[in-house]
Amino acid sequence: MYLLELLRGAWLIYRMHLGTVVGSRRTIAALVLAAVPVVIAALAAHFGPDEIEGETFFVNIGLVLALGFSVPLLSVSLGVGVVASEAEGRTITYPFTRPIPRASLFLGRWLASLTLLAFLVGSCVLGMAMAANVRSTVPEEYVFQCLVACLMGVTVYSLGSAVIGTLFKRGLVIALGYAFAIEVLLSILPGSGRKLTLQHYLRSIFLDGREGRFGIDENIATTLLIPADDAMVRLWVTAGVLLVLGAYTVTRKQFVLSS
Amino acid sequence: MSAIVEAEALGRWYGEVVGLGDLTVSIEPGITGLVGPNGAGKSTFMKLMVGELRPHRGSITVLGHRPFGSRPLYRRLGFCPQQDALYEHQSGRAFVRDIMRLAGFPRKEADRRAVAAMERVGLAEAMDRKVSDYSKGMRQRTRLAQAVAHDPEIIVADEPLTGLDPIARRQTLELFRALANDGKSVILSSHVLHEVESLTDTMVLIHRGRLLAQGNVRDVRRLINKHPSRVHLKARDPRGLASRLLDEPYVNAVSLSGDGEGLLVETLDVGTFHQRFAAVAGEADAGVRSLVSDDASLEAVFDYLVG
Repeated sequence: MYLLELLRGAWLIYRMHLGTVVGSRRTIAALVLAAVPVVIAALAAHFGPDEIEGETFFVNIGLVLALGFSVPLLSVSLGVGVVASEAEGRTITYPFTRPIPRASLFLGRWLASLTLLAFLVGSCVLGMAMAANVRSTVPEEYVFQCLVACLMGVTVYSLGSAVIGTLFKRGLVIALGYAFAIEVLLSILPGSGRKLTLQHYLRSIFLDGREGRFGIDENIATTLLIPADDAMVRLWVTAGVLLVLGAYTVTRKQFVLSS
Repeated sequence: MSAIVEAEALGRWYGEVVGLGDLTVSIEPGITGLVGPNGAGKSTFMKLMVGELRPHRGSITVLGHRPFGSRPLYRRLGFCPQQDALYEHQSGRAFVRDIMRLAGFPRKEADRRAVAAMERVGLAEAMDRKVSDYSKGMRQRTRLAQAVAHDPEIIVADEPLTGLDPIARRQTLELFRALANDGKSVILSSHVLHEVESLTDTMVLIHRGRLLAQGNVRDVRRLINKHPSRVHLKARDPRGLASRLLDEPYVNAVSLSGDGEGLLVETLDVGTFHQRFAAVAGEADAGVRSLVSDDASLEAVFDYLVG
C-alpha cells in the first residue's frame, strides 16, 4: 500500500516537476554545457592529427569530455536542486501537507531531472559520435557502451547530488567538490583509492575490456579496471543505497522555511 | 465538544532562539483566532499543527493525529502558509489543480475543484493567468484557494489577511464565515486584534512562545481593561507635572525615569486622561515635549498581561 502511494505520488510530482525542469534557466545552462563537448569534439575531429582513427578519437573524447566532464557537471547542476530548490523556493509546504508520502517528492523530482539528464547526455554522446565519424566510422557498440556508461553516470551522480543537496545547505559546492576534487584525488593516489570513485566504474563500463586497444597495456588495464558487468552491479547497488538514503532523509528531515 | 487541536507543554526552538516555549492549549471546533505580536510563536505553532515541523518537547495532536507526515490528517486539513511562495510558471488554476491531484483527486475532479475554489476566493477572471503576474493579494488568495479546494474539515491559515486590499479582505472574512457555517473549523493567525475580533469571539493569545490567555474576545478585552494603560511623557519639568497629575482621580500611578526628563503615567481611564491632559499640562507649565501611549499596539497590551 505504501509503495503504491509512493509511486502514485512520485508520478504526480514527476509530471508537475517536468514542466518546471524543462522551462528553467538552469536547463538552458545545462543545454549549453551539454553542447560544449560536441563542439570541442567537432573542432578536434576537423583540426586534430590525421593519424588518429575515428574509434580511438571517440573513446578518448568519450572518456575525457563525456564521462569526465559532462556527466558529473550536468548531474551535479541538475541533481543538487531536486529537493533543495523546493525548500529554497519555500513551496515544499504544498506537497508536504498533502496525503502523499514525503519520499515521493524526492523520487518524482529526481526522475524528472533524470529524464532531462538522459536526454542531454544521450544527445551529447550521439553528437560526439557524429563528430568522430568524420575521421572513420565509429563501431556502434562503442557508442552504445559510452551511452550506457553515461546514463549510469548521470543516474548515480544525480542521486548523490540530490542527497547532498537535501542534507547540506551548500550542497552545490560539496557535490562539485566531490566530483571534481575528491574523485580526481582518489584516482591519482596510489593504491586502491580509485575503487571508491564513480569514474572507475563508469570507465570500466565504457571500455569493457578493450583498454589495450587504446594505448593502455592490457596487464596494467586488468588491474586498473573491472569487467563491465561487475561495474554495472556495483553502480546499481550504489544507486539503490542513495535512493533509499534520499527517500529516508526527506521523510525525516524538517525543512525550516522563513515566512 | 472534543478539541480539534491539543497541545501539551509544546516547545520548539531554532538553534538558541525559542520559537515556542511551553504551550498547553486546547482548541475547539469553530473559528479560532490565534493572536500575538510579531515573533510571538504563532507561525511556529501553526507549522507544528500542520506537521511542517516536529516539536522539540511536549506533544501536539490535530483531529487525533500527530501531524508530522500524517497522510490521514492531510486528507482532512488545509493549510494556507504565510510565505509568499507559489510555482511561478503555472497559472493559479493549474497550481490549485496540481495540488488537488496531490490531494488524491482524478484530473477532471481536481480541475473542477480548482475552478470552484478560485471562484470562491474571487479570482475567477484571473485564474488562467500566470501566478507570477498576480498581485500580492491575488497570490494570498491563491494560497487560500488551495487550502480550501479539497473541502477539508479544518483550515489553518497563517496571517491570511496580510496584504489584502479592503475588498479582498471582506471577501476573505466572508469566506471564513461561510466555511464555519458549513461546519468547518478555521484557525487563523493575526497580529491585529480587531481583525480577528470581527470574525470570531474565540481567540488564543500567544506571547513569547507561551499561552497568555484563551477564551472569548470580550473576556480578553475585560482582562486587558483591568490593566492600566501606560503613557510615556517627556517634559522640561517632569517633577512638577508628576505632582500635578497625581491630583487627578483617573491617574493610578506616576513614576520618573532615570534620565530626569521622562515620566510614566498609568491610568485605568485613558480616554479621560487624553481629554484632560492638555489642561493639566498647561496648569503645571511643565513644557511637555512628547507623549506616547503604549496602548497603540497589541504588543503593549501583551506586555501588560505578562507583567
